[in-house]
Amino acid sequence: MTTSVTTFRNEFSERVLNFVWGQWCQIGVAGSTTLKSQWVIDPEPLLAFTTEVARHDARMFDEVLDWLVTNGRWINTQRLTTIVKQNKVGDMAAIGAIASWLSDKDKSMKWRGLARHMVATEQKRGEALFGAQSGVSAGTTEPPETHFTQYGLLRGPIRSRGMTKAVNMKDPLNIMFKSRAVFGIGIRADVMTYLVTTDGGYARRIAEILGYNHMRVTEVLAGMAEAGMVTVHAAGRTKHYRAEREKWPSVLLPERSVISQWVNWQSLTRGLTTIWREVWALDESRADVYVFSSKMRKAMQAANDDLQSCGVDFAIEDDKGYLAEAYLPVFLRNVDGVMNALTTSGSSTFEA
Amino acid sequence: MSFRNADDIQGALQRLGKRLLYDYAEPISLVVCGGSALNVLNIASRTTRDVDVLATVVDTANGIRLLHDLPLPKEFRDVVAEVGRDLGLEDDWLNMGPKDVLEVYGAPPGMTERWERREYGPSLTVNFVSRLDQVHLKLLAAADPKAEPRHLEDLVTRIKPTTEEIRTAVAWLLDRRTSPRFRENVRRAVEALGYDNISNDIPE
Repeated sequence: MTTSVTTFRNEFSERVLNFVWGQWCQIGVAGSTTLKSQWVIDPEPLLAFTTEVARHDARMFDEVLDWLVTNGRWINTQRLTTIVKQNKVGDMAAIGAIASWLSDKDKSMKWRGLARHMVATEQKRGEALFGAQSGVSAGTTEPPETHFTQYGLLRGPIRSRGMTKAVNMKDPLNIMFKSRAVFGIGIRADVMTYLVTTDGGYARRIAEILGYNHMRVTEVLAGMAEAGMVTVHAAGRTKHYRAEREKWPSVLLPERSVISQWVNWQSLTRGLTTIWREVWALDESRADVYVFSSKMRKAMQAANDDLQSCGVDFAIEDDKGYLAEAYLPVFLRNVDGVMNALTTSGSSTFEA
Repeated sequence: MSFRNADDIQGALQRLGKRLLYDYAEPISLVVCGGSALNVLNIASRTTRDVDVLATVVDTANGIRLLHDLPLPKEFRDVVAEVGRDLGLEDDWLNMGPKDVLEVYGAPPGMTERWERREYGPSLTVNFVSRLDQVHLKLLAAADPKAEPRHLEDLVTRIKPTTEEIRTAVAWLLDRRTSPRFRENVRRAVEALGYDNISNDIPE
């Protein structure tokens, strides 16, 4: 029997939301999760992606707001803006509203700046923030939250539970936060995280993976090399930068901890967003098996490179051998594989 | 990949119709000739790589208008490409390859009354040109010295036109100012079909 659009959408959404929820729980959101991945958590792509998917889960949305009140200082809003705009991941109106709401609580300029950036790019008109399946009823007698109204999104008052914990810097998954705590929020911290958790790379590639300007990453790497913090190997006309693995993990990670696996969160969230949007754009009342299959083939073709390059181990089959409706079971199997890989542990590399 | 038979072509057009309808695309009506029309109208059965569109059709207050000088809309071509990927076909499996025919020669008289109209949902209508009009167009194609041999093959082995059909097609081809070279090319094509009685009547 063919899986219906509704059944697939519900299952897929639930699994994506569980995955995202698990990530937030690992960095301090109050909640329980069975998920215990061993990937470095990259907060900006995660936050951007969450602003879109958590519109289907009001509880998650508000727990993330709670997390931002406690841990928002670790967010690089400049990088978040770049990621949202370049990758077209996340909901710009929701990000603008969140930034506006946070600027009331955190007087630093960064949220105010982010709020301005987002209002300039997209303004919705009186749209409910949470969908029908988000766990909140459509009708509410309470006045709408004003920060969200400014961005064209309707929602009730935010009641933070204040249950979020500070990010656990001892957890190897949170090395990016620790690096930011050591080096400051910026390119240097994130480049260091990347170098410590991988075999290194070229400036252009590192810049691309992290979502920073290539020239600025080159400058940072050159400075690190000059200071003897990283080693450089010339490979043709490019330079390969690498952290001394004996030295740095012991600084950034607790003793005897396992180094977390680097995952390209930008690629991962881009790929998932592509599928998520196509799945939610499907009109189940009008899409027959062929249309369902056709739209999902298109989505997977568009998401394929991003998913395959994100560093998580799963297989996506070549669709060419499966014509028309025959592709649908392949798609369902492949998405199942992706979600299985995302919701089971990543692999470790070596002990620090 | 190619279409093997009429079912393949019909299957592709049905899916294209579904996708256009689903995407709220502007309804479109096409005139189709070539191998796909031969297959669908059961005139001949052979593999074909694409669906040849002569023109799009617009109903006006003054009757049907054939638009051969406008490319297929971009949104339509995008859906064609997506359906092509679903079916392992080229992105342009449905194209306006033969549009120049109408530009240069116009439509055979009465073509729009003879074509066979098929609807693939509310968003896609295809008018397959009739056997007689295929003879016209195939003879024109076969008369081109640079043409692929399949046009002559279609006529000789598949369509097998009658004397009257060839005579009508020749009359259409010569019903305009023509060069001696063009007439010579038409004569050769008609001779190759074995209609010496008609070819002898074609002026030098």
